[in-house]
Amino acid sequence: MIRRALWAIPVMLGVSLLVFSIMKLVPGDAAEAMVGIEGSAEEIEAMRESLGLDEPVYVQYGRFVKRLVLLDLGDSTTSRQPVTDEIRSRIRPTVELAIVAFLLASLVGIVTGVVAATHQNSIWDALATIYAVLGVSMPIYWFGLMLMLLFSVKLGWLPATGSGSFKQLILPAIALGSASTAIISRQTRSSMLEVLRQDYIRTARAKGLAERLVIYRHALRNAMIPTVTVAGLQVGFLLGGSVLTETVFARPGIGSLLVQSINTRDVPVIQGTIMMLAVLFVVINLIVDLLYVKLDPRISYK
Amino acid sequence: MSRSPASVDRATSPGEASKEELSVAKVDTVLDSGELSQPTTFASRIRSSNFLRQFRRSRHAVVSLFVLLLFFIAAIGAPVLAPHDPIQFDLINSLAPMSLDHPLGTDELGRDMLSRMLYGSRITFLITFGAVLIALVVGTALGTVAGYRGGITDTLIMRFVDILLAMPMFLLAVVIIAALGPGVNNVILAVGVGSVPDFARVARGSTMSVKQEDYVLAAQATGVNDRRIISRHILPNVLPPLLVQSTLRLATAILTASGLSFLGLGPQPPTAEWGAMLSAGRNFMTSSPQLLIIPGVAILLVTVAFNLVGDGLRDALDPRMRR
Repeated sequence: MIRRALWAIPVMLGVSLLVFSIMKLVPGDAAEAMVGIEGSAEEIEAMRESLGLDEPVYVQYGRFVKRLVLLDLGDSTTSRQPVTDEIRSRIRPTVELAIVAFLLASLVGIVTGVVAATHQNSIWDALATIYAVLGVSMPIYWFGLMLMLLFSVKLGWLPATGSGSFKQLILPAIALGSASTAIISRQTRSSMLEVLRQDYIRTARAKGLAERLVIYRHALRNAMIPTVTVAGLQVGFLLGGSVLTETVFARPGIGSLLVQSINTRDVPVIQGTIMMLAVLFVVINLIVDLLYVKLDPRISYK
Repeated sequence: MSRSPASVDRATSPGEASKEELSVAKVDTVLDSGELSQPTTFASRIRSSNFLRQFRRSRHAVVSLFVLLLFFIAAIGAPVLAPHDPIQFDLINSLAPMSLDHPLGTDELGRDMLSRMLYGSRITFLITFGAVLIALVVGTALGTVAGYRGGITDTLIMRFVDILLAMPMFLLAVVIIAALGPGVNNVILAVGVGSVPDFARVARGSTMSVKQEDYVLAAQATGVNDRRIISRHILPNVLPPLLVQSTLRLATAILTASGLSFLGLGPQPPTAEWGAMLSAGRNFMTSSPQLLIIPGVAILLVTVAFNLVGDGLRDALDPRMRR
């Protein structure tokens, strides 16, 4: 278990190397961006020296990692504010969105999956199957816009943009969570179907247990294990999708900060937001893995 | 068996990947990547007419294939089929409703929507197929070499793949575009690189099981060199699961690529591309919602079709996966 946790360190180092080297490919370096287009060659050179860009690449990478560890992500080239401050003020809308979308997808996915499995070949099962295909095939940004068109523009029930209130969270969470809902529902259905065929379910029924107890106490608990795996895999999708969802709903989160910084070529902010999202991803994956051991005592990380 | 850890720590223990992926194969999520099984049965199934019969049995897949064909014809025939120039402004007729002259109406600059949709499909398909082709070639190369060689080569390659997997795919694509700049070629590259890990894992898993087959052992015993064994004996047998993977990946690729375009990171105006058209239509959401609905429905249709064809292929190639 400790080994599993320690493994996150080389992964993070790898990700930082990846981000660092990709960012090295950006045409024009940070010094030019800081000085601006009117800067003279001498000014750029001076800035380059003060930023340490004249040193060998591996020294620069070493310094990059050291600063990451110390949570110093540099200053934004547009706002001149420390990147950590910018991220701190933006993190809430993103985390809220990801969590609510995840809970929504898990809840709706598991319930619909169980219903589809216990009523196999019924109209509910057919509807769940159709949703499973549509859910994973719908562009989230398009679904978001359609929700906005219906519930904000036409019906006026929910606000279209912004963040802060719960009402502003509903539409983005539905849009972001729709694909994960479909995947979790599908997974729950198929593992429920498999579990329901097992001998211990027949035994439970044979000894006269109420059907509800059989399904929720005996079947669902065992069927949940693969579902947790699949749900855990959705985290990456939700974090990546937050970039699109936040852009559609004008939520001031990390995702929209990333898009904004790409448009202004603000390299420190791009690096910072990407690293932030990657760290979130690795940490959540770690939590899911550890949760797994709790859920299924047969598994251990040795 | 489906209750084994499957791919919980897909980013962590490459050494167990093949075992894990076998159990993932039982997991029937639509986007699931781990379809693998005995590759020999795949290969023989493709050759037998049984395969075609099985595929035809899936009505969804056949209908989807037909839908895709229509879209391909539209893309190829765009210059002939399009009633107008896709980038010619006509400001007097901007945001026009559907009419005989403009079957799908016009956009905010008076450009004919039907023509833009037709030309846009070319860019969309170019990006989608280009990206999956890159991922297929690079991922297969990495995966077969890792699986065949084993040892340190395997470890190095799979650790690299793990690092790619440690980043959400869409984010990885965004970072690559951030570095290289927007444009069609860079989107192809970004989406392609993001899909490499899945192909590498499927190819590696299949290779490791094919490697144990008698005909490979026989070839090794008679002194055939590795390159020839990989190209003549391994590749033909790992290809079928990779083709299933490719079809399902086309669906993901079109969503990712149009998402990048939507963010303004794809083809730049005035180029017609579905995701970019959607993005531009946002500003006219209340007055002309059709600017949003038309490209969105097109993306949805094509994605559903790719997914259903992929499912049909998988079911036809591996009867154990059938629901």
